[in-house]
Amino acid sequence: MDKQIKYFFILFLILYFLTTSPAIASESITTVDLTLPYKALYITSCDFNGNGKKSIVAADENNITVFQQNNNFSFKSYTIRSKDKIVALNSCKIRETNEEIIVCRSVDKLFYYSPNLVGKINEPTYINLPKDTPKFIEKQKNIKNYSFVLDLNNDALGDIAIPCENGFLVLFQTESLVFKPFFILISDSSRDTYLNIQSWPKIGENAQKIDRGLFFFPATNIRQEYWFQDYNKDGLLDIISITGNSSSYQLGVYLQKHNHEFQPPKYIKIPLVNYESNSFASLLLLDLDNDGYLDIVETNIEYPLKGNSSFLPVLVIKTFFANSLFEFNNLPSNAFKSVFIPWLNNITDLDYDNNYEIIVSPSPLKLGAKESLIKFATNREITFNFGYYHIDKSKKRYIQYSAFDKDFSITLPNFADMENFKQLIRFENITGGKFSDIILLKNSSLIELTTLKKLKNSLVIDKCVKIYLPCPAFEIQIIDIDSDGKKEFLVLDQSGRRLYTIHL
Amino acid sequence: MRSKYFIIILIFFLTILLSPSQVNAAPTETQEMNIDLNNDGLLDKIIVLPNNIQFYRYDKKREFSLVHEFKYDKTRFSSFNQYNVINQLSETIYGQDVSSAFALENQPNYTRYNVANSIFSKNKFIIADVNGDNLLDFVMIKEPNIETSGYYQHLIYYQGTNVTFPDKPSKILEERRSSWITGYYYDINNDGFPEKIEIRYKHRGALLSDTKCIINIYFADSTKNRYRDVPDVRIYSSGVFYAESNFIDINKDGFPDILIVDMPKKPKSIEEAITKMLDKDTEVVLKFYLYKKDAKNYPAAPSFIKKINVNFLQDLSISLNNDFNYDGYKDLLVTQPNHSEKYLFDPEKGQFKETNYK
Repeated sequence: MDKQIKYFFILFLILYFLTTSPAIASESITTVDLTLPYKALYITSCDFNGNGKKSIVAADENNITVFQQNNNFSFKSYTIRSKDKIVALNSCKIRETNEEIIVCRSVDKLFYYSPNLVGKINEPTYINLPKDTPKFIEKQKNIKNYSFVLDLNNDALGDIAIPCENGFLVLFQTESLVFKPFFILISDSSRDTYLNIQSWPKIGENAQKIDRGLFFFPATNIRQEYWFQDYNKDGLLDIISITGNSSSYQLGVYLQKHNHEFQPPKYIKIPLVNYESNSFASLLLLDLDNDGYLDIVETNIEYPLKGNSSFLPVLVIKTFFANSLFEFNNLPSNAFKSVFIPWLNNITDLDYDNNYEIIVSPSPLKLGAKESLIKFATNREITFNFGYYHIDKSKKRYIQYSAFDKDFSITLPNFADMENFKQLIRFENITGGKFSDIILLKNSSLIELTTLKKLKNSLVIDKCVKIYLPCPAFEIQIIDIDSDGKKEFLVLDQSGRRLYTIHL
Repeated sequence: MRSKYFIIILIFFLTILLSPSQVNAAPTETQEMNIDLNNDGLLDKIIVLPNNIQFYRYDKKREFSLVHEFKYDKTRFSSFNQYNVINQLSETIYGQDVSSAFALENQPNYTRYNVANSIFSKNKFIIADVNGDNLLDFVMIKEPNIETSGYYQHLIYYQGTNVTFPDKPSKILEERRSSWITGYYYDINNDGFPEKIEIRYKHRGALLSDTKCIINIYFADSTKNRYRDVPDVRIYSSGVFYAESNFIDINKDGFPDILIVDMPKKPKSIEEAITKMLDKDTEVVLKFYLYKKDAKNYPAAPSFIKKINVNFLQDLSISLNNDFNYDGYKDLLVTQPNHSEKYLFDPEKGQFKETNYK
């Protein structure tokens, strides 16, 4: 009973703390409207000719539509039908000249589309898979598209990685459009077997007792969690797995060799306390101090009313520096608390100097501030601000704090819109300047773009513009569609049938 | 004397170690449960193996002997998720799958693969006294087969003498909408067979919202080996049904009673809702529906109500499975952190006393 009340309360508050406000200036933008004959599930961009003018490619499970880019922000479209059900669609670089193709994954096949003599895609070419290829694992239903093309060996050609039972099927593109398959066994897993016992019946006087009635069903859960990352900074992507429980966890590092093979795992035990697979924690490996070794950033969530005075969830970020390639400090060098802002990357390199900054935001609403909570709920507006910690590399500690001289305000649009509500704040360089920009999706139809500049040794706000979207957005991608160094917004509307490109 | 205490302590720890509630913790392929199957005061043993369930009888010679074995099938589901660490934190906070409006970036450092392999038994199982003979029976529940019947099948194996079970089910009960596992089932009228209880809501929400609760009770139709299609009892109420404090015999008449928890004065504005949530004393009404033995039914309106005050920001539990004064009647316990209130049942007035002790 208590959980329901509390979760309603927390959800109510969280949902209320998110969206729009008046902004400062309006940006001159060009918008291009593209219509699809079906509801798009997957969107990507593809530079078929390698000339920097990227086509936009949208697809559902059976159709692929290409919006071919011409001059002056115009696009010409055509649609082809796929006889294989498409479950993911990526672009893949096939030459150092940036030429790309479209690669599709079906349930058990891989195939690609490359342009013909007149520059259009038509028939698929199937990638040969070995007969003993393990079964591809299905993606979870809630993910739309996913990335399966990445440059594993830093040769500027796209390679393919597909999760299979007990590991990865990787296809190295050894030369243009020649894919060589390898299977990488990943043995690390967390395994739990349960009887799932509960009392029966579920109600009545004996409901809490199982000595006179119980139900059960045996189940075994095997979990694996892993990712690609260049662990030893040799330019090759390695595989890192993580297994653990509430008291300790272990990293398994599979270093990539130069012959498309991976070394057996090197295991590192990390005796930290707060990580649990599938838990609320997240763990990142980043070279915070730029000494060539990846350090650990551990992030946990403290829920409202659970040991903190904020009405909003609080992030607790801890940094553990590496002493050598496979050895980390057991104690954190820094611990930061920040109010949780959805989709905010709290660890980012704002000024591209190869040092990560830690972004923190003080809590705008504290427990007990009933009047401010009511005022906020009535006006539907909340204001918060950010600051960042910069590292002192010689001391291996984050000590220098700078706050941005700007308040970011968020207002909830409508009670009825809450269910589809999607909020975003992101640091990404889209204007082609020297520093990250701050992109705030204030509501589904309005983006606030804030640029930064350097004043002495600190980053400060340069200017702020608002960008009205032509429709409530369902999905937004940020891509440099014309390769001019500035990025464009690619917006899919909520019907999934209209795409807009927004050129700043 | 000391050795006597030592043996008592040893027995105490062994009892804890061997109790059924502990078995869920052991993550091994073979798992055990200890439970008194034949009500002889001795704990028998059930061993769950990857493909079968073995029943062992414990006799007075302190020996376990295998008496029956049930086979079951397993099924496997595999799926992977690819997510950005930043997005995952956001989704965790929301408690639901709310994708970011911005597409997932393909940044290897931030992108994770999470692979889940789950191996489930195709069937689910109940060990309980179904026919009221004080011997625990075995029930195997099969999921609906849409191509054939579309019904859950409950294969009931009644226990015979000396912990024996028949090879074929003693009875098969079919049910379309919920199984004994997924729904609420309870032997309300003490006829030796559980009734089906369906809880439905209109405008479902927390206590703050205008929630209407509909309780439908179905008796088994012995001629069809199914529950009846139309409910035999239907109760409309405003408020929320909490399973853990329901179908408990409060007034010692041998039949279970119903409790619905409600907040009578709903907030009409955001300000009022926040004020109510933050107020330390919010009035909550407990509505009790006492079973009417003669009518074999529950009343349409509450038999009596009890008003309590709670702090919404703190955990709250309402318990009825108490008898503080040992009079056989159930007493009410309302618990919040560092605070609890007890209300004794007054059999003369047929409701809880107004005064409480803490």
